[in-house]
Amino acid sequence: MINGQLPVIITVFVSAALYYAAFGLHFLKSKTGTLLARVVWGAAFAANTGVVVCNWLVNGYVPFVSMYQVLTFLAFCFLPIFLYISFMYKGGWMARYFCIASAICMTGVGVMSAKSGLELIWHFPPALQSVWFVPHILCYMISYSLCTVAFILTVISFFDRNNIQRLDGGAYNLVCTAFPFMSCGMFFGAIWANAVWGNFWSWDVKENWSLITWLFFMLYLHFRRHQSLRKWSKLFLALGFVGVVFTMLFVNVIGSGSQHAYSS
Amino acid sequence: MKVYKWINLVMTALVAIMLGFVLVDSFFYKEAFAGGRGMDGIFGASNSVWLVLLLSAFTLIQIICFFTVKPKLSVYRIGFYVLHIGLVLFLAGSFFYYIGGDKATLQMPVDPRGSYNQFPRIETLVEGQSLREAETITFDFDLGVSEMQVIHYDQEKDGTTGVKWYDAKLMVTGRTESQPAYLDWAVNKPCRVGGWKIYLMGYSEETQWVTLQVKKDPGELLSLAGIWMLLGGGVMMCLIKKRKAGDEA
Repeated sequence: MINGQLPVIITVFVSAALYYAAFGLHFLKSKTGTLLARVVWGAAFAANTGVVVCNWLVNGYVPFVSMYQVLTFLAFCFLPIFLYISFMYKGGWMARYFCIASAICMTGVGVMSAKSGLELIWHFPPALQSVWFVPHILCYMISYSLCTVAFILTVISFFDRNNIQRLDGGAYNLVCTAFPFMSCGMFFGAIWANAVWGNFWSWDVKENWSLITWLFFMLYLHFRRHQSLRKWSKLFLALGFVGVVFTMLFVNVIGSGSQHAYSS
Repeated sequence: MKVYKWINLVMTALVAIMLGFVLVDSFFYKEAFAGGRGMDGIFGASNSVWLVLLLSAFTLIQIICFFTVKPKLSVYRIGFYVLHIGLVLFLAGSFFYYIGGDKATLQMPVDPRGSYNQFPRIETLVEGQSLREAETITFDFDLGVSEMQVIHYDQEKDGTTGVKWYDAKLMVTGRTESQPAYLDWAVNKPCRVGGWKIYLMGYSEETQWVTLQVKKDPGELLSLAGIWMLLGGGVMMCLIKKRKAGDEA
């Protein structure tokens, strides 16, 4: 283990633990409990931010290249997006679900790092050195964060029948916010691909999964609008989330020879 | 609303078919579909009838979709039209590429004194064939490469290895010109010459040959316009319209 790796791995696990603690504390009904939950969440976010900044400084570019960097950034996205959702849709009640989503991402980072070693420094291939690199990944990270929480709300709506309308409405608002970002992520990628490979679309395995994911969320939004189709809409939200997991992890896990497999 | 319902059911069927293709492609990558080239083999080829059918079906759905809503002056409704027209334009751009576009993968040596106007098309080669057996592409200008520059990461300084950057000068000589024009050429920075876009795809330091891709796409501007309309319409429909948590659609 080279210098600097151990503190980073410890910070990752500390951040994950704090996110879990914040998730648990959000179940406390008292004002003090909520305040404590927000303080712990803030501490988890600070640790998470420290890892993101470290990745940025060590590499000298926005850290979106390896799976470790992307997952760390994904975990980082949840709190700022929660603040936006709280402001726009009075969605403060969703706080605990944003916490658990961050916690799961940081756990993934920690387990991956502990299991196969953490590589802090990644080279930045010439093909990635484009103005589209940051907007493409950033839009996807924002949309994936929102879709993850929307999926969690949908799963909970099957068990918590008393709050089903609030949970369904919340999930719908999250997907409505996520979809333009997902579209931007996909089509910024297409514009970038046209500049670097000469094709808007290559039918590459990762592109195919991102298209399927986009189509599932498109069907969710369309089915929600029709009374007799609405009951099926949750199925597409769930399938969309499966698509998100496949798109993010699948290509890297199976090593499918994708053009997008910069981070193996 | 009945039409809306049927449109959605047809879209679902199309997505299900796509999902089937994607699943087969993912688990049998490079072995499934046309000649072992995955979905690129059935949809990516410019002469693919499947691609045309797919684009036609989606375009038709978008056009029918226009007539399922009543015109109304609101940000949401304007966004609806902008998004769906954008999608149709994007798909139309793909049709134009199908009709009048061309693309080829080529190779040439880095040589300040060498320029060529005829190249073998690498993508037409099958295993066991030599370059001489490949189909050729001929341009009405000469191409050459000079001043190839490759920068590597320094293991000690940067902590990693690999190529950090490479660029070159693309030499272009028209039929009526005696001296070549030298264009800055890099990955992510293709050059436009006589209706073609020329991409720097790779470089072998061992052989000192570059791999380039040339593409003629008459639908490119239409596709780009479609993309920006689609994104703008999506923002108008989903982000500008403010909802409260728990609102129904």
